[in-house]
Amino acid sequence: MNEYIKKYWFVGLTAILMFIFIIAYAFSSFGKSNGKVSVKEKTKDGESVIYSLNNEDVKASDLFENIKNNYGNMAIFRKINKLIADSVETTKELKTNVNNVYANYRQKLQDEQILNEIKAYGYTNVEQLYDYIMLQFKLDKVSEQYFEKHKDDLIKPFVEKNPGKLYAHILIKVNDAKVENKNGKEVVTLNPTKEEKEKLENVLKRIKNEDFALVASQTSEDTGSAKQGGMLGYVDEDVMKGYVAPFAEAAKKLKDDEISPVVETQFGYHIIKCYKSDVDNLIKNGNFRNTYFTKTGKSQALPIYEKAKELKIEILDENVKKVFEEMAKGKGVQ
Amino acid sequence: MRKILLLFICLILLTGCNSKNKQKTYSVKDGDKETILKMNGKDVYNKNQLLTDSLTIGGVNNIFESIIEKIYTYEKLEDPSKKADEEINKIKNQLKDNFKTQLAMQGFKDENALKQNVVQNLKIQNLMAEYVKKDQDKYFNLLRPLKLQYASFDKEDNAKQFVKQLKENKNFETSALQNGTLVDSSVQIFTEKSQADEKLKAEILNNPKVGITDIKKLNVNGVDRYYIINIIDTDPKKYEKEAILEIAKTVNFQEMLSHYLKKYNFKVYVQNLYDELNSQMPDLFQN
Repeated sequence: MNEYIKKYWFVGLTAILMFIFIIAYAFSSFGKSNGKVSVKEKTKDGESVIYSLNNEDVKASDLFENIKNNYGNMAIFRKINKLIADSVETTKELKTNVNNVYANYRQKLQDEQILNEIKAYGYTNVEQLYDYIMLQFKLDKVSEQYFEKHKDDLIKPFVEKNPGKLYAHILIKVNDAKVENKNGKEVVTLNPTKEEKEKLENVLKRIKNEDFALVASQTSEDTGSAKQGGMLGYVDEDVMKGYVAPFAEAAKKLKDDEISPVVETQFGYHIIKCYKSDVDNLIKNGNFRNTYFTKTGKSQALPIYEKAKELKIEILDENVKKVFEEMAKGKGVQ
Repeated sequence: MRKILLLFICLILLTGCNSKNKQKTYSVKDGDKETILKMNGKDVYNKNQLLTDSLTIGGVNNIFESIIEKIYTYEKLEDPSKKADEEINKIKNQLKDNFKTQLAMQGFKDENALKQNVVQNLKIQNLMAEYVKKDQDKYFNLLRPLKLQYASFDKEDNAKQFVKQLKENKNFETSALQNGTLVDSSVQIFTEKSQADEKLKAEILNNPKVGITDIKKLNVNGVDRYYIINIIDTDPKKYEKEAILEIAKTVNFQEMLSHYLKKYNFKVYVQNLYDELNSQMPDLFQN
């Protein structure tokens, strides 16, 4: 038997390999029969033919200028973003965060919705959503690094000039709410239903033991901020003026890491949290960074532009280079 | 030696199978030699990569303009440049000093960019009309285009005053405006697909007769309206060109494009463009 195996081992091995080949081929054909047709590529004079019409081949060079004018800039900036993101270390914490967001999106959205969203960024399959989220997280890190670098020369003076704090809230709506003017002061009267009262009790119980952001994302009826864990962002005096009086008064009283008692406004019940708002904490917060760019009129592309310079990324196309410089200065599309 | 060779062949076959899943790349002549981005002095992005990425990002939008251009030439249709100039001059006269500001606001680099856009739109419009023309009898029977004008008033007194003026041989459009018509009362081509209230549509299209109607009181969305309709002609052969242009506006762009792509034996050699076109026009690639 052993002799037999020794003599014909290659026949057995070849048979196994051929079997794998047949199975793989069968699987690929199965894919085609499910509607996916594989297009045969065509080349002519050393370049790709994109399409043919009336037996006339249209080559890549025939369309290149047009393609470059329409989507070239976008492709180049995506590549720059990718090069910059690749320079950021993939830490364990980052992987965990990306995995969480990825799982959340895959659960909530259909494959087609995801693909439509990421296609514009040059991704071609749903699994690449992970790469897309990782890219966004890393670019956010680059923005954070920019703020860290300019903490003393730009950020501290900005915070001194525009003092404010990071707030989040949970809203439980009360439909039967009345606002009356008594002696020049607005007085709110709420007549909650049993269900509305129970919702409030449930939230109050949960925030004692659970993360405020998690409870806000699951219970707050301010759907806009709920998506961000109830986060309202960096609230300075100007922003505070836009809030209803009872809310603003309660928020102003809060110290870092404090949670307010229940605040009654014409919208219902609010529970407000004031987050630690020293400069080190602020620069980690995307909302604060957005406020900084909006208030200073600076471009959000600035951190990317500075990082590109630091990494010695060189754009050889003069027009694209000019567009990038103008973006960093806050001109044109970002 | 023979055994090793046989094994080697098997391995190549298997590798070939696996490579099917790799992302395809496309190339422009010598595109790998032309650098677009460098990092630390090293080439990191070239023309071929830009082409491949742009084809993914922009999809079929990368080729539509060029396809329309080619079909237009094959169909030997009239050059729309002169008409485009006329349309731009009309806009210029309307906007006067605001023309340049509006141009920038609409995202046009200069007047030439606007002209290119207008020319492209006119070409699509003309191709649509050509598409309708080849089956015009079918469309005329189906959509029954009428040449007419109509006025709509919210007060009966205005409608009565308008009718009185018409009897004095006053101009329909001018009088309608004077009496506060709620709609554009100029002469138009009206079809089954025109944007109008269904009750009004039925009133117009049900046994239309040339002439001015009496006042028709119709309840539109819970409000009474008073209509007077002037049917000028019911034979589309007499206003063929206008009727075709009006019908062309209601034809689906993809239906038209699919027709011409089939006519000129269109083939595409880029996977994602094929996938996109196949999902937009499922019958395009069926034999």
